[in-house]
Amino acid sequence: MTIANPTNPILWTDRASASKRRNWLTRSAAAIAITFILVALLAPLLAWHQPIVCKYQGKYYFPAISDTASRLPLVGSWFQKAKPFRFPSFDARTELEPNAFALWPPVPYGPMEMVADANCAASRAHWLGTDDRGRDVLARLIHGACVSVRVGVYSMLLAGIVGIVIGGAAGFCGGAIDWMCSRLIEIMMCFPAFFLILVVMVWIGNGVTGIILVIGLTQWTSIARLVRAEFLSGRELDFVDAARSYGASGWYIALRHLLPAALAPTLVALTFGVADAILLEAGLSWLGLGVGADVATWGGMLRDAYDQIRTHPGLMTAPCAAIFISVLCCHILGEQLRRSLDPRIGFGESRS
Amino acid sequence: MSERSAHSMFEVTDLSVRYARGEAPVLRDVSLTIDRGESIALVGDSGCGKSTLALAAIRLLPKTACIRGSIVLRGDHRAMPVDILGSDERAIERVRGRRIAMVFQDPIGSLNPVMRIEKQLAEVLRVVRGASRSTARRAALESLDRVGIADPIRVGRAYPHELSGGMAQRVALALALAGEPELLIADEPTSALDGIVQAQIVELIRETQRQTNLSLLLITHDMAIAKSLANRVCVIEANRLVDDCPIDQLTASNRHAATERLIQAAEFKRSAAITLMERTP
Amino acid sequence: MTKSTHTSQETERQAPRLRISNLHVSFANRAHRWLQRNASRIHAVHGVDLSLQPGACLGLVGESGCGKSTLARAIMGLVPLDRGTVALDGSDVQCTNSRSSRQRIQMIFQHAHASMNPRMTVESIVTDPLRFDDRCRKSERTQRVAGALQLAGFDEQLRGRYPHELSGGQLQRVAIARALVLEPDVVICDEPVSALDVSAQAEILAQLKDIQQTRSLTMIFITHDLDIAAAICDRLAVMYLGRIVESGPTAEILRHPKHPYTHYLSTARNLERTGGLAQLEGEPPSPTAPPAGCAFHPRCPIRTDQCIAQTPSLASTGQPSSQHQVACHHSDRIVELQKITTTD
Repeated sequence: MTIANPTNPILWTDRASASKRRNWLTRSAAAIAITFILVALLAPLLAWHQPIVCKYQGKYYFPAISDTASRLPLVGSWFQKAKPFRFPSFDARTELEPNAFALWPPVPYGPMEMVADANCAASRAHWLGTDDRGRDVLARLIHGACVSVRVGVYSMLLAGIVGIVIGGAAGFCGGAIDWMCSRLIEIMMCFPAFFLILVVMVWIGNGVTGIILVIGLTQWTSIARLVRAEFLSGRELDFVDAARSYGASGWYIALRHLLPAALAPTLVALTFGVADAILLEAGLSWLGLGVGADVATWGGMLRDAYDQIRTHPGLMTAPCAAIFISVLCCHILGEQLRRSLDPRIGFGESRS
Repeated sequence: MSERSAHSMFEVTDLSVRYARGEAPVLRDVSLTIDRGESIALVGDSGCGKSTLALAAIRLLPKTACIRGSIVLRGDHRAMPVDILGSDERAIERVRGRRIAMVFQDPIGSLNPVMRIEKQLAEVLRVVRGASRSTARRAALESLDRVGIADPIRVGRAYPHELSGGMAQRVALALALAGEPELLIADEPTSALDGIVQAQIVELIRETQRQTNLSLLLITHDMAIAKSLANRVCVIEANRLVDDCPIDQLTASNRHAATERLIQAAEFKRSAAITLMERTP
Repeated sequence: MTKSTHTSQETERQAPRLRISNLHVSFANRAHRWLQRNASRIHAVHGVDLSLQPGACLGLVGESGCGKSTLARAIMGLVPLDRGTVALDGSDVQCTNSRSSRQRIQMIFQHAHASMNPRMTVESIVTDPLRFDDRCRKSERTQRVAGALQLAGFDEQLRGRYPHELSGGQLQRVAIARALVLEPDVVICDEPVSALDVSAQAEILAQLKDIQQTRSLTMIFITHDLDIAAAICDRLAVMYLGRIVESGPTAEILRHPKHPYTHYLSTARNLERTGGLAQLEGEPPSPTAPPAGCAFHPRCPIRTDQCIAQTPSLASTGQPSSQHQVACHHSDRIVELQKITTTD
């Protein structure tokens, strides 16, 4: 009877290939996410109705670059003070002096400019065609990324701060504070969020800041619950008792020992939250309650395309794909973040 | 069949295990034979790979692990030999619980926390013995009685978290013995327990073995427990089997250094107490 | 032998370093049933008196769930006391609730791994207590940490590692270093070796004994293993269900246990011979519903009606060494028990 066979092919499975596959997926998701963020930051360098560099009446001007700089977060307002040179109109580029020159962005149209006939098919001049009002779809897509990234990142930053403060206070203090914070969270969660957003949007009015505030101030509840649970379970851990026994103060324990443990799952939840915020913003814009008709957004593009869904269904594809890919990237990155921040997955697999 | 297979019931030959390709092996070329009715203690420090051997014996290692070598359960006359590593999953399922059973270190953790004890036992009895619903409950209470639980009805109605560690380990043993296995693998069965309870469980395992000609593979880091239960000791150090000797030759002078060290460590504690008692009048 | 009596007479004259009197700790036990809540109290520690001379090492022995860890946490001020006092050098720790007096008692936790923040390196784990030591200047910290790690026998090379990268024995050394870095007078060790392999146990015990003697630390050593207690402690207190049932010099208790429970504890140590010995039947009773009278009576073979009716108090055995105390109505009948176990 020959039973012993030295190599059992069923048992030689390869874990490395699975992790390689995951790595590849994460890397491409990260690359796409970074591309989206860069596109959002540098939108006027990619699609703008002003040149990047131009020589006009013997002087050099950098209108697209200064527009880009003025849109950067934090430092942008400093650049806004210097009023840059502007071409009077789109047609100015054809009326340049003979010895003048201009370097244009790859898409030389602004997002709100009517540059061609309505509903053009894709061509060399308009890579993704034009919409119902003759605006370049690619230019709108690029500037739409700007809104989505801002809404996603800033609203989750706000939700994260509010959630950590309220959840942390509830979990660490306990007692009456915990009771009050928990009831506040429950009330916020019971309230239909979309309805709340609609009401507040009508009240605040349109605008990116308004939408960031609304999403941030309604989406913090899940973060707060997460942080509260982490703090509550952390309070029972031995190392917190150890810190108390050598005289550490409550603040120190909360910030040094409990918060870092709570931060990892929070970061993961926030990454998923960015996807939710992008979807929410797109949904609001689609309803016409979003950022407003004067700013290009993916949701707004969808709404415009929806009006002509029977005649030009192709117009839906570009904004749909942009929303789909960005949300998918957020989820892939969030999942990978969860894996890499979870200490159990990292070194819990080997045992004696 | 050779002469050897008449006695040996469980053979591990040149077993090497690594948890993932490219990682350092957890076990290297370990060979081990267990005869029918024999008790073997696998002794070593934590991290030496002794638990891996136990998991490999019932093929509970993660799917990603790389395993080489062979493990064969020969069993007694009533059953065919089984190649543990080469057989398909269904054949292994028929072996687990029925022919090889396992008891773990953390008794409460190894029980289902949301099921009453008698229900867990009855479930196992129905699966491994094919008992009917009505007879399974009675059999469950009987098996609780057999592992020395004084009040089987009350314990049967309890949930695992309501039991003390010793009681839970008795229940775990009852679960393991439900399928009337030929080989019991006990992975640190007493190291989570207190002194008195530890002695009780050791005695219970010994008594069970006396009644049912059960072979035992005991995994422990404590030579004192190994000495109290096993008739052969295998020492694992740094992922290799370095010593294999009958219990009565443990004190022989030419033992491996690792064996010596483990014996001395076990005697260290006792010696302090003994010298204290001898010094005082 | 003569040396040990000499030191015990010498320490008797000194004032106790740590004195615990009539300590009671209880927890609310909320059993949630469907739509109702039953609140009862679990009396985890029930009137414990202990007194430790400077440099003494007391072993607190008992089964899991007998309240010995709760007692340790109560002394550390990690759980609130119902009643009783913990006095360090005569002054109540609770009244003078200043940080520096608390820091004079430090604790080594049972699960070294759980008692350390997994996100901190060994060095920062051991440095952390010094942030709250007002006497220690910032510049001294590195030196103090190095000293503590060396005292605990921890390899300097590994100070940058994280807890999960260390073995159980090394981790316990870090825990010892962290407890010692504040240079406390009293160290409470809560089962410091029970999670370790036997070989690591021996090393850690030797190290602890060494530190205790060279530093003349006052130590409370909690364990469930009489052998471990014998290896390191000069006095023992045996705990059963929140009460101390027997206390006295280690050798005395090992040789002549007066309480039936202690008797069974010491017979259970000899695993190879358990077959020949009568074993203690039954399970430790639940602290939610402690038995009336002597808590040990349901498991005791020499119980009488008096044991059910009346709770025995800790009293001197009347032996020449009067430090041996026992809480049993029938401590004189312990000889019968020895006969039962040997003839059976």
